[in-house]
Amino acid sequence: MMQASLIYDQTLRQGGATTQTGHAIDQAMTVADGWLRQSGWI
Amino acid sequence: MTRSVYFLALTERGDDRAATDDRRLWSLTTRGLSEMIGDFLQMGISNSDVHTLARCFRDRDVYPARDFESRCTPRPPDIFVTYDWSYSFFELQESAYGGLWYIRDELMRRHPSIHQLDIEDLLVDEVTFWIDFVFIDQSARDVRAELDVMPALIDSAKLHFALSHTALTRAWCCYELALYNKRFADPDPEPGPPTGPLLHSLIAPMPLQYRGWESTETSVAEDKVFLEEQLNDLYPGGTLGLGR
Repeated sequence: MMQASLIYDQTLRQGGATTQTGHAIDQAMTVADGWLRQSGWI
Repeated sequence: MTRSVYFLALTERGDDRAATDDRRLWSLTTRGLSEMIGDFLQMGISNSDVHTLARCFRDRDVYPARDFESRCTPRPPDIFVTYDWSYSFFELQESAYGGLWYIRDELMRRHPSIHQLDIEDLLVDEVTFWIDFVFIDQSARDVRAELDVMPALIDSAKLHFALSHTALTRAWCCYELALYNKRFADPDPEPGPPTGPLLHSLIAPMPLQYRGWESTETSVAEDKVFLEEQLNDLYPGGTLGLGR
């Protein structure tokens, strides 16, 4: 197995298990707030 | 809404992404997807997994972005969708709504003064998705060449949904995760394993499904080799060692 894939594996294992409680939600809500702003709701 | 009026609406909304003639870079709303699925049913294409749907498109020379153009939006997507082709397109539609309703519930909690229906109208009628079976012509002579827009396409998307619980067992899905999350990778990481979650994709509940890259599968065997080459180009020293 090549180096990149091995380290990429680590990223997926860690991120896949816990992503819904952290960075992913923050990212989604930052973007969603942008949609509200573009549409004039906030 | 006619195309010219639609362009005007996009301008008024302050959309910062240019319209394009390349249908591979288009997108559609969840309402557009639902209406397109209605079109499929009307022409006798019943619900199936997406492998079967793609074969049906090849047999009938159907290219949804061309043949159901009015359901589409001629600009890059807000959300890139990763899923497993073993899903039926009904399940995919339900999962797309599920992801949007997750965002709706969070928005309602954070902005209680905005009515639920206004949030839903925004999410269903303005936020757009990219779904491969709609925008990649399955009858193209070289489907892999059709996919050369993938890096630019995913880079343009603001969010990434990984919707099927088996997505992390599929090499293409893992590749798409890598493409989207590259923007968040630390360019100067500390040595050693990552210390926290690095993925910024919204992933359907599926922890522990991932068994390592070695265990991921592709329907076409050669694709695994191709994707591994792409991953190693994308992360030349691994995600912890970009540029090293």
